[in-house]
Amino acid sequence: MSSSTIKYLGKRILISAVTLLVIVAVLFLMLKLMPGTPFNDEKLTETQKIALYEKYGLDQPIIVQFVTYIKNMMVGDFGISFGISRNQPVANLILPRIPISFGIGIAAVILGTIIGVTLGIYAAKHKNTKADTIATLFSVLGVSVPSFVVALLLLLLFGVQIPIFPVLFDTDNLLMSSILPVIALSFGVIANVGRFTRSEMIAVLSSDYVALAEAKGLDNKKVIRRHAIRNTLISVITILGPILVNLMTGSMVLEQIFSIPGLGSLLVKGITVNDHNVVLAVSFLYSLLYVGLMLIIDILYGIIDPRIRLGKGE
Amino acid sequence: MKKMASIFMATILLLSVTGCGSKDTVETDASTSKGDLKTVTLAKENDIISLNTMYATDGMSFEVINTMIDGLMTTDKDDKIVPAVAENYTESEDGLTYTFNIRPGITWSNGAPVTAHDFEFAWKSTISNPAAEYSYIYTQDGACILNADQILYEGADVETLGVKAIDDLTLEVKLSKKTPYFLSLMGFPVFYPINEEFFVSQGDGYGFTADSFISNGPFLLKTWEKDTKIELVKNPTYYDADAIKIDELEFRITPEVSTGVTAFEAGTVDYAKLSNTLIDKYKNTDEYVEILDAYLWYLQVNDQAEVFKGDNLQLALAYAIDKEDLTQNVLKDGSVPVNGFVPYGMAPSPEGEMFRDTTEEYLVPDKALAQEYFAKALEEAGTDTINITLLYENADPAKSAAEYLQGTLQAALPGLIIDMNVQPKENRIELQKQFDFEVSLTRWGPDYDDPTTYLNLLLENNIYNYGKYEGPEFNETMEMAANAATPEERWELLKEAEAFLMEDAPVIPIFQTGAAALLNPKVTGIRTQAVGVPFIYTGVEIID
Repeated sequence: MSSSTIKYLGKRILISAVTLLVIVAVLFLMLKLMPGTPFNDEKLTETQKIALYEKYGLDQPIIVQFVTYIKNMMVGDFGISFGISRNQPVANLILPRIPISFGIGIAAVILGTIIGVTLGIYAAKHKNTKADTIATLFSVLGVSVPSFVVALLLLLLFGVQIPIFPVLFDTDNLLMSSILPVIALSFGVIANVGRFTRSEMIAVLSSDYVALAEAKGLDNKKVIRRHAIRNTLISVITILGPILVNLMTGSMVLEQIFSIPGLGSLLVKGITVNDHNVVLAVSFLYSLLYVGLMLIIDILYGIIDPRIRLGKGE
Repeated sequence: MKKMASIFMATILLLSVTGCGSKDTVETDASTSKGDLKTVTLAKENDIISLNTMYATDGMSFEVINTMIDGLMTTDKDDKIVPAVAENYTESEDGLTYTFNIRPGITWSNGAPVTAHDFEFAWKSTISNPAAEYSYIYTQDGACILNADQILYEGADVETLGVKAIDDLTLEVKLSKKTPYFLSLMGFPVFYPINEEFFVSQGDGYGFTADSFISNGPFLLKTWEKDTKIELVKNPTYYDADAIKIDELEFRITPEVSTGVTAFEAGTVDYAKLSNTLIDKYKNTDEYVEILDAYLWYLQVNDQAEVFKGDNLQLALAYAIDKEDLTQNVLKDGSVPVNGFVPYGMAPSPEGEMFRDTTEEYLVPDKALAQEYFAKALEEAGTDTINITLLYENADPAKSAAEYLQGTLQAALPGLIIDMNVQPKENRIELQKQFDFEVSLTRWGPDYDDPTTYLNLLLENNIYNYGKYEGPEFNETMEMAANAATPEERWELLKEAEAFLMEDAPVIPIFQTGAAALLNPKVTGIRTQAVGVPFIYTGVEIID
């Protein structure tokens, strides 16, 4: 690795770390400023409240609390839960949920991408035909119908009317339990990827090199398989990252509906009961995911195209 | 189609690679799904907050703990208080000392014997733990254990608490004053025993998982997957094991009410709560059941506010509220109207009748009477309009009820203008504490099974007397009740005290919360309680 690459990597990692720190600071401050505390039972006396604040270090100035929090976080201690699971370390609540949320999110992206790309290519190939209209209609539906509506429909259809899948998520029956949520979650992906693929594909098909390939006498199938699809897919990959993060973080409603013990439902619950440590830890995890992904994309771009890292007149 | 199938297979493959997959069975009927085992499955909205009785403050934790740990006393199928871990007890003549004889031979699920020390340890640990929010129940706001107030509020030595294990099988409890409802509190989880040796061996992790918890009750904890499910199995060494008619009890956590109902429809669960939008759909089915809580929602009038100096305005408000209309047509969540300050279904009299059933109905809606009082109030004020501000919190049922009250009161009492002050719950409570409100929609839940858990709130020196109500006759009657010679006399005096209270209407009772649910008709014997542990499963049976 050249020294400029190392310098570039170091700079990117440093920027990411600072970004994360700023995010945690803002989150921390916002949570402290939010009305309400975890201890808002009308029957708690002042003496009890003071004792509780003291026990959990909430009586300290915010800056002291923040520094303590960051110090503990560095060694993997995200504090304890006040409300959701009294006195239990937050890590105990979060860790078992990560594989569940991520597993379902990743599966939905894979399923959605495969179907989306297929539909998109098909629609582009048959531009302005009935099939294209149907595929477009499907995309519009996928974008505009919220995933929870799809989820409820699937649940009623394949959970109650034709009872193939369990209605409630069950870790003893993980495979069957995950199928309906994955399908429901993949609808949005199909729509997004489908639309994007279609427009990219149309652009590629009308490009000069495709015209050249056709002029060379290559048959239509070969042109599409060898040239068009490949070039389309490269651009599709760039939108998959954000979609993946969105799915992992934005599936809280779906988690509620299928009773999935995921990160989203934990965050929602944390917010409703003012369980600050839980909210902070889950939000941090989401930020880490975003920032981490951005970092990877940046680095990948840098490797693929050295001009990017040398930008700004360096 | 071929493509679809391969995508489907790919997803399955992926899921199994990521370490999932296992039994591919679909449950079809909750109560018969597990072969020969008799299993009852219930959908519940919330998970347990803590299995540690020191920290448990919520209904769900109470009901699960109660299936696994027995306290000194419990209730039988007729809601009568009966001994559990205690075989019997004696009460001293002055009513200040209770001596419990522990049933010999009872063991924890790790084999250790259940002794009087387990109670002494649990109680002293609870009251000296600042994170034990429910420890106020040890004080004069609850069980009146000797020196509890001093320990909790003044930092006295925890060893002075009025509880002592005389020997392994004898527990002596000393009270600071005669407490007629003391025994009923012994069925509350916060008074349950904890085995010291096991507790200490678990460090900070006691009760976090099935492995870090031991039981002495009807069921044992088999698995607890946070926010997914809790599986309990019958405890074969339970002293009353013959009375337990099912093998497994399972709770499935379904935060979304409609999902719980869908699971009920699919036969996955035997019990699911209904939301108010679903009640009409199921109201006339065999599966529909209603459950009464004892949370009372009422209007707290601030007697210090200028508009409420006389009694006419609050009486006008009290008589003008159509409680029936509010509960049946607006809230529609199983709530019921209450015409008195002690809710239905709680506080048994010496004869075993519930308090509300032994008293009169007060402040029964009467529009004409309301208008009469309002005319007087207007005359007193010398104006033709009266403005009041209603303080309430921004969540249901308070939100819906407050909006209804504004409309219905302004329509019934022309000249009344209600300004709305909506706040988060905590701010609402804070404003009440600072007496910075005119009238507030507030609630109270009972701490113990006695009318005084409500009536005490209006005593002059009570910190929850948010309206600074001063009722000399009420105070005097309550004082007489506290010193009454017999339980019967005490009861009559408490009834009288409530009557005095309702004459002045410093609090205007509106409705008592309830819930509607679906229950598999094959499952019988789930008992509900308005105070303490909300659901009791010891008598559950599956009938064919």
